[in-house]
Amino acid sequence: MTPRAISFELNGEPVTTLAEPLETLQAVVHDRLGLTGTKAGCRQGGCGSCTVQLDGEPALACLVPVEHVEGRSVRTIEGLTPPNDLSPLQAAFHEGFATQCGFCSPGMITAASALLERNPDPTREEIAEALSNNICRCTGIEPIIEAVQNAAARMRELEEAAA
Amino acid sequence: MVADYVLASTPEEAAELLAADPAAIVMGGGTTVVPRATHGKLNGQRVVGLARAGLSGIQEENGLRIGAMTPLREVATLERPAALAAAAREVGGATLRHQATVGGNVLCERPYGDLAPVLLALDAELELLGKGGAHRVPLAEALAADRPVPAGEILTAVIVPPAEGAVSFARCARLEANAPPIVTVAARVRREGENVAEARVAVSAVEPRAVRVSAAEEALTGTDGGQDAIAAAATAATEALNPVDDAAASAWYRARMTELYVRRALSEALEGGRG
Repeated sequence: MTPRAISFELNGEPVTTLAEPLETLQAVVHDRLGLTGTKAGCRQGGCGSCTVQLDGEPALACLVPVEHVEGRSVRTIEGLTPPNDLSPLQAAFHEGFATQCGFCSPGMITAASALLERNPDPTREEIAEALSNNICRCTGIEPIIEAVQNAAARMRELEEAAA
Repeated sequence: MVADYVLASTPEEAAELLAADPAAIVMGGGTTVVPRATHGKLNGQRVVGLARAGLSGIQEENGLRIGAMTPLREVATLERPAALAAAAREVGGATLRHQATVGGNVLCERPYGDLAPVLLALDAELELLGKGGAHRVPLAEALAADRPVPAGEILTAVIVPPAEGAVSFARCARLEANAPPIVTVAARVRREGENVAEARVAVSAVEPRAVRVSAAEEALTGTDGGQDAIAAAATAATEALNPVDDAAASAWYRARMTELYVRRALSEALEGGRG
């Protein structure tokens, strides 16, 4: 039961932290490193509120032992939020009333952002599949799927304007 | 808190670590072991991790050899066996399937474990590694033993022979995605001429472990595979099984759904299955 030092990249910055054996990435990020966006919901992989991006892929941080993250890159909702602003996904969630109590929102937005990275124009089914590990008890999910579609459209517009 | 977590760098090292500490827990992707540790169920125990043991990947060799650490999302995209891919797509949600592994799914406790019935229907084998080297054991035999993987050994791969006949898969759960099964059924049927020459019916989530239901297989073998034969096999399966109660379904409801889903799986297989 000796804590050991683990080093990885968190939102673009190198971090080193102590962790107990099999301590979860969720506990390390939230409790030890103070990034409270990575929520502990069920702590058994069922609700998706702890979703982070691990090397760009969505991962349930409550199921990832922090030992597995050594040398890898982790992005949390804090790392997906521009300073003093909202990302297009966050803005679309806000405008479309896709967040009510807000507990699932960081996980939803993190999973959706990984989807839009690899697929800028997803179908409704592809969005539902990408969010199939994320539970929302307030909205009934439909506003969330619409928000992701709206954000995708907005991001494509911004991309075209920039090109 | 667990006593320690050791990441083995080879399968041999993992087997040695387990032989040295018979109480140690083996961990694959961690989707069932990590929550047990988080919730204080593994306090004081050593956990041996396979994540860096090089056991991930699928090879074609007269059928498939699927490494124990292969993530379910890779199995989910297999063209064949289509029933195995369908079963993998039903496990948890998309994010979980990046982390959950084939070996873990085959060996985990009910109600999880949607792959086992398909693998039983396909006469799959487990490849195990221990002190005496590697050996293979039929999955049906392993699941009937006290310990599917003997002490001091690890599961290194699942060996899936080419499917003879038509294979099907049917699963009952409360939600379309991310819900544990009430019953999962797989079937394989091979005809010779008009009649059923060989049948496999396997069920998980109903009893503590996935099982082949020989009563249903016998009821179907030698028949024309018509509606009456299917109904008789489904009834035989329900009578042979002893369903458990859990939060997803009562034993009574599970028995009703077992009959229905065995019927559906057999109908699908007899209509040509999924290949």
